[in-house]
Amino acid sequence: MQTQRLGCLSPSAIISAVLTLVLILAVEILSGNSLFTAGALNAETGPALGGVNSHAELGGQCDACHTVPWSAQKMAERYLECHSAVQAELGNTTRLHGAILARNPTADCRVCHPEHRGPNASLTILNNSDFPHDLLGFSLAVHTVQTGNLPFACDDCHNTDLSAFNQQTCLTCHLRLDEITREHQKEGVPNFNDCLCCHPTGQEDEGGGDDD
Amino acid sequence: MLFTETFYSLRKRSRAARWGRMADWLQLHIFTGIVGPFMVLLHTSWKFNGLAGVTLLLTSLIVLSGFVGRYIYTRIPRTADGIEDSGLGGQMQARTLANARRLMALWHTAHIPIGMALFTAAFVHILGALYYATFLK
Repeated sequence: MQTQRLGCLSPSAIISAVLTLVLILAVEILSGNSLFTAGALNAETGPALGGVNSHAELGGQCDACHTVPWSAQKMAERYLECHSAVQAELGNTTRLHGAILARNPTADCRVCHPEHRGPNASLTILNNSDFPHDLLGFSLAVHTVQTGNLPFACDDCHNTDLSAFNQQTCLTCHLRLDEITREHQKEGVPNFNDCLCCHPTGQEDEGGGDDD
Repeated sequence: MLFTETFYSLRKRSRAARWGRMADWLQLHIFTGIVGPFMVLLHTSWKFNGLAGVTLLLTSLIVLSGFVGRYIYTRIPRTADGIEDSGLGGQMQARTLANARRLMALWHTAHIPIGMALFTAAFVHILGALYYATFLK
């Protein structure tokens, strides 16, 4: 097939391609690896791990977390070098991360802890069906759906902080149910501020009251 | 998208090839040149930082350049196959036709380098995505 020279092989095109490559390389070097980042790292500070107090301090040092594709080391292994407390939990199924790993042996840190979502974005995303709540003393067996048959989302109970639970949340939902309020009053429990004291797993009949 | 743009360029410069009419190839080139960038925009998730942002900027430039080029293209008489027709040109004032051809040539000197810059940035962006995400273990 006889062809004219392709436009992409014209001098201006070749110069443009080379110039673009040189510019990419120069900006990559001068900006400290900022060209390939998917977004800013989390800036939440905590105890010093791996010599830094927040992921944001690792900005530009991609290889602090990213392994090269042909390396035998996985990114999770590099993550655990810093987060040694999590590493210690992995072999123990009574601890949070160990329980998650036992339930899902292929679980990867990045599934629940995505990064590059901005300095103030949460570092933890959890699906409540994957999280072993029962290990923490609160089964979700009777909290699979809420009023209206809607599924529970994490923030229905935990608001913004997944590591904390305010029992006021129980009251916010259950006090709306007049029947429950009346029943507690009938049982001689007019003030029920500590729900978990009588219902540690959230089951209705744990309180020992009249469940008729 | 990049492949169809390349095939258009290849077909356009082929003297012997008869794979489709040039007018149809141009239609495909325009179609993918509009739909493709729209998909690129969706692909950004409204994040415009880094090389991905530069690639989107170059994509926008090449689309704008394409619209301008399409306008200039219609100023030059062509056959139904999309080949420039100097016979039809006789119906135009010679000066108008010469201006349109000069504009078309000038447009090519901008459109092709922008396209090559886009191809280069997209290629490096794809390599970066493979390295930092797809093949991440």
